[in-house]
Amino acid sequence: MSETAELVRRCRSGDALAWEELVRQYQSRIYSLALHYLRDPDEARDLAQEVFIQVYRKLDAFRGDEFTPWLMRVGRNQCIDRLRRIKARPPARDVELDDGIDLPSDAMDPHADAQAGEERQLIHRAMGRLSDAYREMILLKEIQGLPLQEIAKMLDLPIGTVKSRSARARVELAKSVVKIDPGYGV
Amino acid sequence: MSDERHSDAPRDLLRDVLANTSGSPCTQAEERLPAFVDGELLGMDHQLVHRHARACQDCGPLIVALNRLQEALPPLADLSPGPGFAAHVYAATSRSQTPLRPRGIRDFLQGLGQLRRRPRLHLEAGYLGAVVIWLLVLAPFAPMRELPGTVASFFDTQEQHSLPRQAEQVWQVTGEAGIESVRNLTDRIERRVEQSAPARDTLDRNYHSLREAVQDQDPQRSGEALNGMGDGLEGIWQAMTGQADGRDDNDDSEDNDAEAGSSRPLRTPLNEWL
Repeated sequence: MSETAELVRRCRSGDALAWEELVRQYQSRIYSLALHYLRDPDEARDLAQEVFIQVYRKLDAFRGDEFTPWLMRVGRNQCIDRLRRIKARPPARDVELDDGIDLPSDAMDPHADAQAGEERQLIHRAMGRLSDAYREMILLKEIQGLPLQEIAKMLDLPIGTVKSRSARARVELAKSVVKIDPGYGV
Repeated sequence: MSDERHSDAPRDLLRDVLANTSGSPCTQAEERLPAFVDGELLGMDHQLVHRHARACQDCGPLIVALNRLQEALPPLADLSPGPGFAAHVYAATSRSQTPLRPRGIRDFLQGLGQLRRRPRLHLEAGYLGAVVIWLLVLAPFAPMRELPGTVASFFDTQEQHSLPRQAEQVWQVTGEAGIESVRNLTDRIERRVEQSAPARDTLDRNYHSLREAVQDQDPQRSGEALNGMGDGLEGIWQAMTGQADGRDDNDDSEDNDAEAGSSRPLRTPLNEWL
């Protein structure tokens, strides 16, 4: 039994320490997922918390073997619900959120983190120029590292479609990055 | 898009030929770039993309970017939500109204919840109920086959004492006189509510005085206010029972009869019937 499976088993039997550890292990991934969907740090933090609360309540309903894809599916559904609500209400701010957004990583070296910060900003901006479908594909496949089968199940698409869309999304992101910074990667 | 092995050819020749024949090869190259970067293209396919990308001003930088993105994207999965996030979530879930329950209860509640969400629950419940009734009452072997006859005879004997039947009898006895009597009763109640207005004011005034006295912690004023409230309540009682006019409820029958002479014949038959 993997460590995550053991943590989940303990959580289901009411072990509070196991639940705290599970949140600690997955908080960055869920926050990242929410931030890339919502593109607003405050909304993302708030939603990440909601995701964990829902997971806590739904832990009994988790029947599969793979906790991470299930967690991502819960997170994605919440993000989409929130996006729907955000679109239904007037924007709270007038500024362009993609510019100057803070994307702190969990890196232990502050110097390395500062160097990587500009690149993260660039990628974040470039992703903002993609279509929703391509952005979601980059997020699930390239960033979260979910297998194609899981993404196909999550999006209810044939695996062939997911594969071709994923390849296309990578090219579109590369184009978008190069358009913003022609010297990227050189 | 040129090939260095044919450097003698005019620079734009290849582009012009492609433009007038197959069109730009970049679209097809782009489709294969991810597989090229991932090392999945082999043999001739790999060579063709490689040669195209070396010469193409658009596809070359894309390959560089794709290579770099392969390393830069995965770390984006680990963005810190800020200090204290885990503790915040832990506190929120600790306050949750649905703590983890023992396994058996959880399963039972889940099953119940799922049952309630069934779209045809009402239909299924109706069907189940019909089957149960048939088994208990209507089937040839039913243990309660006598039940319908028993219930029917019970209602036959009760029918003459039923509420609709009694209402019908009241109407036959009272007729218009009953309506007039109710109207007089309503008028009298309204009049007495009006008469109680000064007493209600007294009660209200002394209630506010009591609140102020309590806030000021003044026992003497509190006592006076309580006495005033008692007077107000007494006044309301007297007004509503008719004692304010020097009469009490026992006199109402005369008052009623004087105001509605036509209702006099009503009382005897009603009393007799009741």
